[in-house]
Amino acid sequence: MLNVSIKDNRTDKVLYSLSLISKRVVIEGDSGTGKTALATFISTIHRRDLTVVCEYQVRTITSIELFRGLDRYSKYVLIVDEDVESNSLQEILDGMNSDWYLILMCRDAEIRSLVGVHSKAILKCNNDGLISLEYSDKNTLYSSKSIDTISTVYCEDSGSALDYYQMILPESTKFATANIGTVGYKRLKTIIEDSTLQDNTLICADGETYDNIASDLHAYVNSLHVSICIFIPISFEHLLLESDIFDSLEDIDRFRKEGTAPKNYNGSSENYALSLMHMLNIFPKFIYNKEKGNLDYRFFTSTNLKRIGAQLPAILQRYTNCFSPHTNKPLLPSLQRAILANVGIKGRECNEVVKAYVECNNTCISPEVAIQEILSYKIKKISNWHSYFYNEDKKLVVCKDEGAYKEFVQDNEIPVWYRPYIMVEYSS
Amino acid sequence: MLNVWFGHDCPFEVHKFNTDLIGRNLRIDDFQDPFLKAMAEDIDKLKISSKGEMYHEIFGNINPSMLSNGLCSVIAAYKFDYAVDITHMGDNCVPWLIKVSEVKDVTCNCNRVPVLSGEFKFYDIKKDRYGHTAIEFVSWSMATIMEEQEVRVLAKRKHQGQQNG
Repeated sequence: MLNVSIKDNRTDKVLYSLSLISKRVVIEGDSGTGKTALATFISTIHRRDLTVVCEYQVRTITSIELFRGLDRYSKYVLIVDEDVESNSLQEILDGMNSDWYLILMCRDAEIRSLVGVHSKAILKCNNDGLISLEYSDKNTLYSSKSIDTISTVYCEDSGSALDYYQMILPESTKFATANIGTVGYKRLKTIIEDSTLQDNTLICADGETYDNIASDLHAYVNSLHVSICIFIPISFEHLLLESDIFDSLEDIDRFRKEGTAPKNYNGSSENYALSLMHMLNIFPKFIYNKEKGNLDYRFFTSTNLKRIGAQLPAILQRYTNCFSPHTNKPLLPSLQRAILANVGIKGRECNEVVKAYVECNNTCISPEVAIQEILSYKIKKISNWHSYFYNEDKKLVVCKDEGAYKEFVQDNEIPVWYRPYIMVEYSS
Repeated sequence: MLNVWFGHDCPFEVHKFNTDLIGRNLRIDDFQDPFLKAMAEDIDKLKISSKGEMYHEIFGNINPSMLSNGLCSVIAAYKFDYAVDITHMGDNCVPWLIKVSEVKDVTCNCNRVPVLSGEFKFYDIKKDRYGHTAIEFVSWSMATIMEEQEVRVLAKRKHQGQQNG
């Protein structure tokens, strides 16, 4: 993450404090929220009494000549306002060093389609008058809606998404494959328009096809006041880049240029979030239905799987980490296995972990929280596992170290044959 | 009347971003016009004094060249009769453009779906048809965006197919 702040020296007040969580950020939102002012401030900084604080140089690109004149050996945050022509933007994207950042102010799907994988945000002003970035989850059109009450699901085809939703939603849910892939625009529009408020519909559509018009779809659904969630899986490439599994910029470059992901993946922007979940579910043997024999196994080591999985949207993590709210069946147990195998536990014990409540420092945490804590690195490592028996309350005991464990066993006079515990190391 | 061209193949030139141009052509007393004043106060959250001086809560005193692109676009339609682009206006600007279209003819291009509600009359120039509701507006806009997206995706797939041999 990179921070950019702009301070007004006359008033000593910080006007903007922007946290860039991704190399490419697209800012949308209402007029008058400070987008153009940001670009103007940066481009006229020499005339204004402002200070920009950032470890990179920040430039507003007002013309392609300005971009061509940049020093290739410096690091930049480039700000591009919405007056950019698509040809110029393409040249900027092609010519940017891989470690440069781009902030694009744009509402046009055609322009956004050039940028590809990116984070979307709006500028928000807090009560103290500080403007910052608020990232949106509109990629998935999913952020504020629950799928617990879904009554109808349309999936693009009978692939993994259909399997997934059939697994987690009740049997009374209606399912249909709807041909809403590349050539399914009219079909998608018809489904949206035919939906009523009584019918809570989930549409799972091809992310590549719909990603850059997601904001428009969102506005459309809002305007019609229908009860629809459209799930556009975020790109696998995005997950990989966000998961920080690459050791160096050279690695990232190689990934982008040569396609070290499954063969033919590079450049397709194909979206694999659900495939990833499928992959995790059958871990460790991964049969990737679109690969053609050229897998980069770096992505599928247990450590990297955990990192990649942690980048899934929270809403999906929720369903990878716990039980179906309707069937009470454990979800994707192999994902749990994959995560826990990585921290030193193997076999069926791992499933037991998530079925049990974990007691830690006299605090009970749910299985979901336990897994989330592992995913978020709060629990760095589970260092030992001796038994999967439970005490009478069906609770497992977490001790921070071996000393604490011995103390616990002695204090509670727990017999040797009945000593459920997990030792964990919490990250500092 | 709001005359709209849906799509990127717009045959007429639209006023986009010449904020400076609009700013230079605005005089302080222009903002004595209650409509313009209300619009600037609503969209850019400005406080405009009786003398026309503009104050923004964060940026302090500002001049017309610092107005937002969206506000400038609506002013361009209202005061200078330019054709404008809805794509570059926030959702908070479009209702004002519709209000302008109630008192004069406004021509615009639209390549995005604004969040709208209610009823207003508009004319789809490309398909020679009239619409009367926000739902029609967003529906026609969405249809155009989807058609264009389909062309883009198919072209991209074709290009990739050629690259992969």
